[in-house]
Amino acid sequence: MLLKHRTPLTLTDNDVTPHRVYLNRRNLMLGGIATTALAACGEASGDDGPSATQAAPKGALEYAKSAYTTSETQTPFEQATTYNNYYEFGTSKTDPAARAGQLVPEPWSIKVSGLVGKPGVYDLETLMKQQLEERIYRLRCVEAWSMVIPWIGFPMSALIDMVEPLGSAKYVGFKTLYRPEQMPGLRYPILDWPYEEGLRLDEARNPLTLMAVGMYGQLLPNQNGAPIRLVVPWKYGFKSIKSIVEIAFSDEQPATSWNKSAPQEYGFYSNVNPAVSHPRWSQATERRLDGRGGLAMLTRQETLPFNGYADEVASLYDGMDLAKFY
Amino acid sequence: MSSRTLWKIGVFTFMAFPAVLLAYWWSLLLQGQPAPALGVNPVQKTVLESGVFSMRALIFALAVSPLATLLRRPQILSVRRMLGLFAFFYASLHGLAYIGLDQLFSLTTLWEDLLKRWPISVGMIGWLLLLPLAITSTRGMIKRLGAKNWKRLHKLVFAVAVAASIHNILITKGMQIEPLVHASLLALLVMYRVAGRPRFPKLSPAT
Repeated sequence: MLLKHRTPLTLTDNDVTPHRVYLNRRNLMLGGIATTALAACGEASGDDGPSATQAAPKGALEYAKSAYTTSETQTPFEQATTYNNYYEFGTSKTDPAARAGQLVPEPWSIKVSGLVGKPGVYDLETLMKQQLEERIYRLRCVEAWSMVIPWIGFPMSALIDMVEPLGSAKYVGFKTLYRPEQMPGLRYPILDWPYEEGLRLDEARNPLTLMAVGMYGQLLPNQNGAPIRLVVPWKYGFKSIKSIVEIAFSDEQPATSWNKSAPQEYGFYSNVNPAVSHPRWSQATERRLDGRGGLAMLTRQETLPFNGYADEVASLYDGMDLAKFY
Repeated sequence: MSSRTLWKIGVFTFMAFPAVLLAYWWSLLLQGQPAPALGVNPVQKTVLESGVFSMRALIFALAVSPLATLLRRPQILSVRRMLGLFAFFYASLHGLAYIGLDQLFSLTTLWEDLLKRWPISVGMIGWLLLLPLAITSTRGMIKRLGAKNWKRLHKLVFAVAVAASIHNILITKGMQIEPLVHASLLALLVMYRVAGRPRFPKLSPAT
């Protein structure tokens, strides 16, 4: 049974206040804090000047720093927002940045269904009431390149606790928005749309698993999965599904888009694993995209098991043959 | 200057342009200067673009003689060899960029690609088949082989078209349009030749 948390006749703040303004409410009230946050944002995004300032009007977020961080060089904001795989906007790396501007990610809600005590439609505002924190994670794409990105979000476990999954729930499935009029890539049968992903419930509950609403101190740009996306740093990037509109809890392993498209290439787990090659390339090394120039750009670095997060997550897979469950 | 020379210079400039740009951008990058046109991942972009250009050059090369016939302009034929050589040139650049820039000449990778990753092996085979065609593209070689043998050898280009199409489709993630368009054009050009060749009447066996 699906309970709507509000009927269409009930007006909420969201109906009278533009979402962006709402998200900025604290900054509006506390001008001083906003200035500080913007300054921090400028620092985080490095010396890529004009573009960082261009994106700044999207609104700075208020968040706490978290212990999940790294001393590795951060990918410049400019690079993280112009080199994206988001096939709903086209298959070239620059398509999302060029075309995602037409997406209107507001108002936004997530439909939660399946084996949970509190199914329903959750407005983004409700979810944004979580304490936001910044986590600097490595992102390893299945295509053997990687970035280091400062995400802002809240633990997925907080959302799970909120909806109270039943004891029988073993998996979580996610779906991306399907809106052809704003997502031109959906015209082509590149994948079986809408995009869907999934995790085992214990993976979803792992403290590393993040629901991100921002990056580099501000709201997520559309091409990076606005307004809310998953970040699972020990898995290949495509597991970190963007622009989520549905979350379903079930006792069966959910279907996932890339697995349906090419099961021999993309497994359900898709943990970063240097020992298990993709059928078309080795996963042993990766190219780090962090703004380095000159000859350094040609260097590759070793890929770490679970993308360097083995201490946190390896125990989830005890006794499993990771070559079989790739 | 004759219109034929102009046509050849024009086609040459058009086909060489991407390579000149790539070379210029890479010279900037290697001096530590930015080359925004190469994007965030210049290695990946170079491998991708050289492959696409090679595919297009192959399509152009195979389109020359049907176009010359259809448009009744035999002058067009003067660029056929050049286009074939451009297909070989960009395919070589593609392979070199992949093995050199992307894999840093790792012999292990090369070996694994050849044995275990057949979408890549098919591409390598396509290049290997193109090699004898490039070597025998000179007037002298045509003479040495004899026109008949030369023609027979150069039918290999159909095998190249098949290998290149398969490589292109398999190497692309998901179901994308461009590789399918390339493959359809190549299939059309091959079929045109098969169907367009004069046929000798054959007695069909009585049934």
